Amino acid sequence: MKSVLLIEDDMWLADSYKDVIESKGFECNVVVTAEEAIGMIDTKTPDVIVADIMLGDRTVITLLHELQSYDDTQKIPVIICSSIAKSAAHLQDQLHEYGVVEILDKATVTPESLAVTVEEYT
Amino acid sequence: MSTRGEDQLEQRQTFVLPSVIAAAHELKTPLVLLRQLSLQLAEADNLDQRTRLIHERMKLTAERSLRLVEGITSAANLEQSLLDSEPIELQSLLMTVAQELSPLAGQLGHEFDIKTPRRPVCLVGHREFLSALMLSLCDNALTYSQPGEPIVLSGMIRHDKVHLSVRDHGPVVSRTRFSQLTGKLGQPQRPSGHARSSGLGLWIADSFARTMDSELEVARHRSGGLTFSVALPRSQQLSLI
Repeated sequence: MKSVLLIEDDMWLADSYKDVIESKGFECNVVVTAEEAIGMIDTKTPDVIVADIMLGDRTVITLLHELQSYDDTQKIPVIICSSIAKSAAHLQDQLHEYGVVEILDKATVTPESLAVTVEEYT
Repeated sequence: MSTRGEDQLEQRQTFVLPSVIAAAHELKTPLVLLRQLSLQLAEADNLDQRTRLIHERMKLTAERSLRLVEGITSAANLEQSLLDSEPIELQSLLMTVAQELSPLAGQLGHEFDIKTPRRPVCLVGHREFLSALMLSLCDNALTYSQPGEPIVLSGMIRHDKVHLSVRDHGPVVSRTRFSQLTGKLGQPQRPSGHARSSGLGLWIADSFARTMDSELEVARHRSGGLTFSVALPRSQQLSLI
């Protein structure tokens, strides 16, 4: 079974996204911080990562740097799903270089579009 | 020496505005969650028509609230985007705005009527701000128009400017109320177009208009309702093709 690592600090929202992702037949592990995410990736490499920009203790940039530092993690597709996606739009090119394949706006994303995006990159 | 009014204004800008912006940021996640949960519930197969309607209204209300908080946070970062003006095609701008609000308009019993010159016209503005400005004005119009009445979105050329306007068919606004409205549109705490609103949407719209070197104008109709408009420079780009 393909696996998705979801990094989201709002537990109810995480629960909702997890439901959507699992309904499409993926395994979905949820963590709250960038540090927990790095720990989880060390244990099991996910096929795709869905992350907010603000990750509780740090921003997603910390995580992206970490992922780019190792051969086995630098090709993991990262989908950003954030309520400040619009503000990050000007960083799109930069983020793509760091493995970000898609930026979703939490204010407009639907369960279907989230699922389709995850399916596209697994 | 500053006057008491100036002191109060400065105090408001120093303390109140950052608090409002912080509150807007904080509100984003709960609103996103409400929207997400209602979308998830609406996916169930066994919902009756009434329940589906309630879910749709929950989603639309969350989206409407998100537009407002999005507007507040964007209005706080206006200066940094001053250089991002670009030519924008009038018809497609108005169509995009109408399309985004069509589900909400449908629920409230309205349709959008778009009026533009027959030839393509471009104007110069900041795409994101202009879109947020028009969404705020349309949202205001949807709130106050009588069901069944259209919301008229128009773009007209006068001299070298493109005048964008949103006309609602709300109740007749008294002369006194209208004077209050026109007198206060440019002030930091702006009033509503109609008595029962706090005027937040208009404040957002006016902030965006001022960033693009324009201002929000309002006209009263004897038959009822208001027209809010903003004038932006016409782009000559199309004439060069």
